[in-house]
Amino acid sequence: MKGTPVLSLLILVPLLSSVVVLLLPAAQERLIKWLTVAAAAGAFVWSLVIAANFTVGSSAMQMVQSVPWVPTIGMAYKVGIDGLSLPLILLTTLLCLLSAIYTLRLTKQVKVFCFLLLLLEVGMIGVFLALDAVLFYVFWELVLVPMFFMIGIWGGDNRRYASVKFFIYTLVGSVVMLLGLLLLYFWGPKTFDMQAIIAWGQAGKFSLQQQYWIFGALFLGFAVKVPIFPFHTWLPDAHVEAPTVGSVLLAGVLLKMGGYGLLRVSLAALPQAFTAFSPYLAALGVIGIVYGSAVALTQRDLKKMVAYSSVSHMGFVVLGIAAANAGGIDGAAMQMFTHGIITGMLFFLVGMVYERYHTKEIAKLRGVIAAIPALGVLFTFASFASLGLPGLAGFVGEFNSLLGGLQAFPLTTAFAVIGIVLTAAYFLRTMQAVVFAPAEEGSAVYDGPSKMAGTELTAVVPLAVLTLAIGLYPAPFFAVVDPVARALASLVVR
Amino acid sequence: MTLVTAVLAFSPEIVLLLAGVGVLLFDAIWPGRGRVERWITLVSMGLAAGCAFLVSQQPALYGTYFSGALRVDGTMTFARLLFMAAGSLVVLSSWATQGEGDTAEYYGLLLLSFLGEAVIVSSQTLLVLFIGIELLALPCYALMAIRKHHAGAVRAALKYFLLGMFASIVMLYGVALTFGALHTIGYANGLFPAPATLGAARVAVAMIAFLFMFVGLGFKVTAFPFHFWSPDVYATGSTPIVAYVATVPKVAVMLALWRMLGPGFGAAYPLGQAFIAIVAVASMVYGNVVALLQDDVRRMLAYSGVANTGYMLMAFVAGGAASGSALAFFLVVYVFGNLGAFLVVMALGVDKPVSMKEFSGLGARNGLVAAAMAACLFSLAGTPPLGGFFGKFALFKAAVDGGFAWLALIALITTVVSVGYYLKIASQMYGNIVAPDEGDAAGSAVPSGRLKVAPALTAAIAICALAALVLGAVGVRFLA
Repeated sequence: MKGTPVLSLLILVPLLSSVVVLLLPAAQERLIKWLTVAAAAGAFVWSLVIAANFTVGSSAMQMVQSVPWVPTIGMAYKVGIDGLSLPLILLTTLLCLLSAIYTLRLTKQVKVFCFLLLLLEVGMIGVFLALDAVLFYVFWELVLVPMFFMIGIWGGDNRRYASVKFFIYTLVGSVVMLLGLLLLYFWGPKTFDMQAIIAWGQAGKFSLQQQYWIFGALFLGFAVKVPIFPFHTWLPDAHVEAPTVGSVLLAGVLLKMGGYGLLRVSLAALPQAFTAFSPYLAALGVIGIVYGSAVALTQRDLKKMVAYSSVSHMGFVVLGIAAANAGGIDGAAMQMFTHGIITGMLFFLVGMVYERYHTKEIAKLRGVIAAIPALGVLFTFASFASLGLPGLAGFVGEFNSLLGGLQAFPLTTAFAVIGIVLTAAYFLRTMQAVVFAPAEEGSAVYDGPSKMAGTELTAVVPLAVLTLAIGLYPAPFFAVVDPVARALASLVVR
Repeated sequence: MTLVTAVLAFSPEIVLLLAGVGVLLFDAIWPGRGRVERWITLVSMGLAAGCAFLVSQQPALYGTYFSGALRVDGTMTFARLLFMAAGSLVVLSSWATQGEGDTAEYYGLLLLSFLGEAVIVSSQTLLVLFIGIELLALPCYALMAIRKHHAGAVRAALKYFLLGMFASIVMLYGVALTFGALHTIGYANGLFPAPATLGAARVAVAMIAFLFMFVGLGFKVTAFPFHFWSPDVYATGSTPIVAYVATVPKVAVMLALWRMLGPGFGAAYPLGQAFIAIVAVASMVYGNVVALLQDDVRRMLAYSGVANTGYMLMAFVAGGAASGSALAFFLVVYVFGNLGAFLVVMALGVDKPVSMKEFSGLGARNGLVAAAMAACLFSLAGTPPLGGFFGKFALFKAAVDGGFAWLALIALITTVVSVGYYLKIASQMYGNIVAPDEGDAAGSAVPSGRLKVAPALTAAIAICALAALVLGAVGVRFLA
């Protein structure tokens, strides 16, 4: 065994807690909920400790731990963290903590839900930490199962269709991805150590032909997850049916796994294939931006609108990654993080609106700010952040992605402007109607308390504060990401 | 070699023989005490496993016995321990169902069939191998028919018997030809010597002999196209026996085949290698594709068994020591995965066909059994980090390293296909928790309510699932 178990502890805390939850009697709902909150809080605090000990300004893997698993075929339990994964780890533990707090309000099958939530956290953290291709795949698949059940058991009326569609899309994607990982093994250094594979790729030892095949296989897995147009069709269904916490984590973290994979594996290990494919990737990103926002404009369901806004926002991530210059990758990493907190916030808020009005139809929702002032204000804030208002976090990522895109593919990127305009249009329109317009005949009525519950505020306010903080002062974030972004960008020679 | 060392070396088999005969005698003297007979069986299996372990600790006992007819070595210890583990799971699984007057015969025959398997793995000459196969097959034929009040069981037994005999005869013909070609039937160092030492004519006859023997053994391991009896037999027989027949005998014959052909056969005899490769590919493709089309789960498992035989045969094509250990690991994974899946089918119905529909909502009706089934299926499918992944991976790697990347690629693609039917069951088990089929027509056979499973059977199922997990996490370390 090599290295310290600092990172493994981050995986173990939710893992062991999930086992404890499983062993507790289902009737102990209060205990289970608070245990889940405690576990998620523990993981979050520990991730802050990791961040505090992280050496900023280095592009190297840090806190690496490696335990041989099957030495004869070069398989190990190997984890590590760098500037690319640190923000995503913090995002994951934060959103899981807030989700656990929000789960305090849950009444249906509490025990199973808490178990799945913690298991999901294990999987998500694992994906971002894994430095062994098989381990990466195991965590990748582990994420799939709890999310399937979350949508399937706690989802809306059409949950069966949505959960099965989600499962099949992502499973097919990940099985093909596994083929890609095996090809990396057999054509590569005959080890699953991702650092060794990346070194092999960067030394140019994969032939161009091999790179194309592997890139294609991996791309399918990552593209479904991001999702990159045209692999996005599972996303709106999954989001509309998923419970609030499911939507938050799906949009907040799961989508980032795809972008992370593209950077960590595809770009790092297959630079030539990536370079050759990047114009098309940029085009797909821009199509995603424009298409997602155009479709969002036509939605009548509030949640579906936010879901399509995710497609659009993830388009910026794809564009930034495709640009593959330091600015673009910085922007993509930032956009992944900020989309996580902003869209997470939006999904929480949509869930709160739905709980009060029992409808998600934009046409029936009116005057939220008059009925529940705090909710209205937060919704307005989140919408502005999502449409990319300068001074809030959403702007920083989009702006850098666009800047990177303009340097690499000026013509393609120019079309993304259409998406920005459309995004402003649908958010302003929705905000005007849902938050500010006076109640009309036929609109849903809410006559409950005009204050938000403590758990609700606790789930959302930290995200709002973070959105403002990053928007005003993004420098620390870039200091973490930039070294890795520069190292990755140096691989792409156009 | 003295008699004493021989007795010690074969003490596990002697224990089983005494127990088998003892159970039958016990029943003759004190009929109707199934409880005691069950315990005798289980304890004797534990004892045999213990003896096997002790033998493995005495290097002096490893060697050949009875004028070189039988060998006791590491492979033998491996087989003994694996067979006893699988056997005790079969006993546990039928704990609740075998209490209908035929208990003694059931356990007696089961114990005696292990002697056949021991001889198969241990034998060093073709004739002893043939005797071993018959020694195994006869109790299995009878076991298949033991639930005689059930028409399907008799039909299955008859089919199993007739085709099994046919296969034995084909193999025996191959043995005769082999003697003609090679002037020996011993395979202490592999059956087929270097072709250069034989001359072209004898090589040709040897190849024909090989084909006959391979066809005969192909029946036993359900390799395409010699598999055709297995879907019918598996689908009509009594499930605990089917579970047994589908796993342990196949492993025994595979091990014997490995002893016979050894790691160097493929390289020395390209024609034989090509033949095995064709059978392997056909088994993988046909088994997996046809399994996709099945609704009867036992039939599906039969075809999945054909496909798994295909994966195993890859080791023979690739050759080399790594193939041997990959094969051994895969066999262990296969035994527990397949046994577990069959035992879950048994939990849903012992003698009746079980359709996909009957798995509907199992996740809610019995969470433990459903989770165990999922673990076994995903291990069979080859999903990391379960044992099945490492088994398949080791075989694929051996094929690639042996220069058969195309074979590994076909195996990989068919594995992806196989995910389809394993997932079909999983989606039945869990898809319906998600939203029960409310709109189903009245009278459709969608089960509901909690599924009660006997504790012993539950334990056996849980052990299989646990093995799939442990083989992934820890067992892979033994993959040399």
